[in-house]
Amino acid sequence: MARRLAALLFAAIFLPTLAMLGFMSFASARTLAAERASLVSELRDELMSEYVGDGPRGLTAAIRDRLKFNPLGEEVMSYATPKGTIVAGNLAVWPGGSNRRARWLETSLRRTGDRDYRPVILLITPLPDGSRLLTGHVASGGAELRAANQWAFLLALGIAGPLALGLVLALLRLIERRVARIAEIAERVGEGDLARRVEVGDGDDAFARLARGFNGMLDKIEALVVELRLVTDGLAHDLRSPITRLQSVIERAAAGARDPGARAALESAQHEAAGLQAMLTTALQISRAEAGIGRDRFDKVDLSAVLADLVEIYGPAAEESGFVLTAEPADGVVVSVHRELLGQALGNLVENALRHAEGGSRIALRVAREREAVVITVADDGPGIAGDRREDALRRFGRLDPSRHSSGHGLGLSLAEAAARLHGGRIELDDAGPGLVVRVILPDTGAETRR
Amino acid sequence: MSRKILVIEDDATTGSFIARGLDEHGFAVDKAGNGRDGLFLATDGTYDAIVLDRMLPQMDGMAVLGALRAAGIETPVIILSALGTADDRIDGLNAGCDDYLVKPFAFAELLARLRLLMRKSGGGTRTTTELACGDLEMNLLTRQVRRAGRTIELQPREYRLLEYLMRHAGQVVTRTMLLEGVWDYHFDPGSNVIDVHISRLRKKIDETFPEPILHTVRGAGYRLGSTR
Repeated sequence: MARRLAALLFAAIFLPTLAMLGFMSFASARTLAAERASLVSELRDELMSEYVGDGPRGLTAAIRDRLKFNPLGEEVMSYATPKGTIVAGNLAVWPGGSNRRARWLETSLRRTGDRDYRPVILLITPLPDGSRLLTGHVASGGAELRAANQWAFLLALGIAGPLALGLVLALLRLIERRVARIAEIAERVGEGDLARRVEVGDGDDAFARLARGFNGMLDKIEALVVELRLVTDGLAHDLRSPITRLQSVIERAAAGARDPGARAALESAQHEAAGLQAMLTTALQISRAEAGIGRDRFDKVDLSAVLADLVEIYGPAAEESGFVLTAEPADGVVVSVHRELLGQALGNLVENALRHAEGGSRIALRVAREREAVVITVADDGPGIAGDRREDALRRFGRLDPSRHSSGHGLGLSLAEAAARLHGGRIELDDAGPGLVVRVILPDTGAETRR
Repeated sequence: MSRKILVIEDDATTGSFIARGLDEHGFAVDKAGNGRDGLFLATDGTYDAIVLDRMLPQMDGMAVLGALRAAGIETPVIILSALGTADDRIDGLNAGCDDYLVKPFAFAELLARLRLLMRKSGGGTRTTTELACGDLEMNLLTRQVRRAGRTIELQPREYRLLEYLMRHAGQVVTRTMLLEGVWDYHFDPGSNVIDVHISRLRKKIDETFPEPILHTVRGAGYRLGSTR
């Protein structure tokens, strides 16, 4: 793209230069030709006045006079009888046919006494008595002019060419640099750093306008995201008190109910309310993690110990569901993390696996250092998630199969992602072949202290 | 003599449902609608426990707590927070509260924790090497567990679970309290995660004995102890 633009710009600058040179050489050639024509006409007029005054004899004398002083000048003269015999002049042979009308002729000929053929411009004037007068001029200036033109072209190639090329490259670099700055901001914002803005220069050029427009758009996006967050967070906050009261009312009713049917119904309602409460708590935790709250609570934690805890906590429940939950032992993966949040997020991932890896038989936890990062993986051997659905899976409350009435509230992955982000990391979903593997990738903060 | 509890909560609905609930469970309850009134009542020092909302008009919950502790009043305090997660909990615990509960909470959770607090403050802390509950005994040094003289083999996680239950024998212990007490994570694990632990433990300590000792308290949690 840039190369094509450069070629185009170069052509746009360089080709007109060439065209102008061409035009100038054409124009100067024409001027020269016109000058010669007028010299030839003048010569003819002078000789004609001799002819008018003294007749053919006078004309012959005038021609001889002129050639006596300057036999090999630039002029060509010839006077021929009606029969075609050359009476006077510096031509041995009459050029062209025997046209009766006055006409111009451009040709190349050798004059009497001259060694070379020369380009000439000739005017043949028929006289009343049937004789003919030829006047002409050597077109010698053309060669020098051509040489000069060639020089001009070479200069254009040698100076204007590189100049144009340099200009084009400089312009391209300037454009590229300014566009790259905007592109970089767009990438940062895309990654979630909503506060980034493009620097706006003092100028009022298109770039400044682009930057201002771009920043305006980012302001709008940030405002919308913040508003959305406020709305969802506000909703969650407002829901807390009613849910707490709801739970307590149901609890009390269940405790007082005598009828076994009513009691069972109330207990089931209580169970649902507890689920609602858990969901709400998780949603609030996601909001808080996304707002960056909790960064001051990081502690040095051995991640393999966290995985061992998870195996202890979830192992029996996993066995009941027909899974074997394992944690691969790893040594000294100690990083600075929010232990509780990370533990809960990973616990949620294990619960998700238990719920969704139908037909699977194992859930494997692993932690390892990979280059600059610490990677925790939760892998199952269930049906997994198709590549094009993984994005959906990360959405809050996103559930892959709307018809499935599983108790999964779709917040597990969101919490894991929010927790990873709080640590400056991210999560990735991948194919475990078969099954789903969730990779929680955290920056390796332990690496610095080890060295 | 019924135990006295002070509820400092600005939200009238929440305040009265807590008060009513506690009243139904046989506690005497005083209510305060803001921090200043709450502090005034609390400095009487005749309460067995205080339920303190974190966000209060006039005087914020943490300030009330600070003032109380500065005045040398050691009444157990449980903070209710609408703020959210573990971080506030740690702030609260650092500031001298005894427990921390995040809204929304189940009333049973509050009740269980309050009872635990009042027992703690009454009994004090003494170092023991033996725990006992009915005919169930646990030696903390040899890590041996016996019921009615019969040795019971437990896995490490089952041992820790039972130890927590035995240390809180007679008390209702919620699922979150168990997760917090045994593994030091503060969240609500999936519905049956803790239940499976309990049913496995129950197989070992209850199944072959005539009297069950580990009870499920419906809608709240578990209780270790003889049937009341």
